[in-house]
Amino acid sequence: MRRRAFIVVVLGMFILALMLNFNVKEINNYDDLEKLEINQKVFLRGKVVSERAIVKGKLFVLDNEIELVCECLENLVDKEIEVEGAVSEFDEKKQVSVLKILVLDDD
Amino acid sequence: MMIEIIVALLVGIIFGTFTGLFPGIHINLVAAGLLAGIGYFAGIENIVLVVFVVAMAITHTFIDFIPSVFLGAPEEDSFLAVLPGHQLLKEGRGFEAIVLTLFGSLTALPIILIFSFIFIFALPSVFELFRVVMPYVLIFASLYLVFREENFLSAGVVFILAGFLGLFVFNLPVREPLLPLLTGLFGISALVVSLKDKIVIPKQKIVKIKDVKLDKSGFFRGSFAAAVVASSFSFLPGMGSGHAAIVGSELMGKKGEDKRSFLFLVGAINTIVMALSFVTIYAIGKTRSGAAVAVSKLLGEISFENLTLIIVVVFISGIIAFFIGIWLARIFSRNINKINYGKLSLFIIFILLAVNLVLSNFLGLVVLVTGSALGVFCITSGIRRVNLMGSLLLPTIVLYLIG
Repeated sequence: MRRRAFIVVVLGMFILALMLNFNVKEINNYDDLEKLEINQKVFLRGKVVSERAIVKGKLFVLDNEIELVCECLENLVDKEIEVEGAVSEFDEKKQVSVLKILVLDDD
Repeated sequence: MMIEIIVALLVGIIFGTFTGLFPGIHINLVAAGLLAGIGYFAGIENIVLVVFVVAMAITHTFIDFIPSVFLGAPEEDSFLAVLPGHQLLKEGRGFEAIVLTLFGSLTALPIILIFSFIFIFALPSVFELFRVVMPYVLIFASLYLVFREENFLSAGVVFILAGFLGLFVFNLPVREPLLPLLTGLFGISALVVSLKDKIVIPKQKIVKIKDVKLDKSGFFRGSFAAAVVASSFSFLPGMGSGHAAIVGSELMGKKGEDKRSFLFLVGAINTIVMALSFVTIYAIGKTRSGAAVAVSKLLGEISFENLTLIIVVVFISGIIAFFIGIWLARIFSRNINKINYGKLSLFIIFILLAVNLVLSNFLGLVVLVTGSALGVFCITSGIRRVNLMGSLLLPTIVLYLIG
């Protein structure tokens, strides 16, 4: 029983590790984001329409109404960006915590 | 207004009894439902709804040990009581186990009163200091937990595997993450092992309440540990009754290893952590439990008058819940040995699976299976199941140190 239990643990951990690395969903707007669970990895594109400083960095709002929380200091207003992040929540509103950000029209 | 408050208090106690008795039905679920349907309560003042939430939350902390001890079905706040509670059940002392947790919860009431004043005056200034120190306390407690085992290598493996499982759970889109994690590690695993071992539950001894005694040293050490630890863990993010119970049992020294003292301790901690989460909103404006979130949303800013009423409700609902707990423990004790425990275990496994399927998602199911297997591995390796607490300790340490 002990050995079988250990095998199940290893298999389970393997599946969870795979899900952690490869389960990325593409979203286009806030409705897509709202349907997802917290911590879901997401990929999205959009144009930054506004930004403001917060305690741990900046909060960007995209033209598709998605809010991004980024531990960064760059000014990205009017820039087209590609983001990989994880769904988070603040004040019952879903946001995306940025893991990777790529500026598409940076000169 | 007075009648409305009394009715809210009684209805809260009834709901708290229900959520405490049924595994998987957490007060957070009811509190979230209340907030979602706030429009239906338009004619009722918010303070009345707060009385309902507080009474329900406190009653829940008294009652939720009953399914943990008698059915081996753990809840988020009471899962550590499954371990010694179930052992006493197998010795025919399940009633005594429940009474000890109830004594702990009852003893928590004067402690809550004292610490409410301390929180109001001291918490704003010491909050940051505790935040810095706490991860190191947890690292020390974790190392002590592992190296205290005779077979510390296996204990280390169990602790680290549980820790990684916890890290996965809190970084993956698992709905209601604690439900499958704790149900698997502490609930289903023990039920599977008991099925294999064909455990027969003996007739339970129902003793007089005054005959259930904790020796003076156990009582004072338990009360002191619960007061110090529960109050320190009730206002920090990511911490809860489980963390407090681990550190508290280490603080009690040899007494912490005694099943009876441990049950008293977890009973007290559970109630203190819940009650002080309401005081924390007043002291530093932070919410540390689902019920506290509901109270904060209902009241906005809490006045001193609101806080006084909340503490009174904590006391009254606590005393009533104590007697309800004794009554329910008697009913369970009289009937548990009449049921085929093997069939009951299978039925509970089925219920826990169903609850997880409804409230969690596919990933939750993977977590449930992995957690159950890890729990079985731990039990069959002869390692104390408390090492499975790595699932909460490791992610919390990482959260505090890395952010």
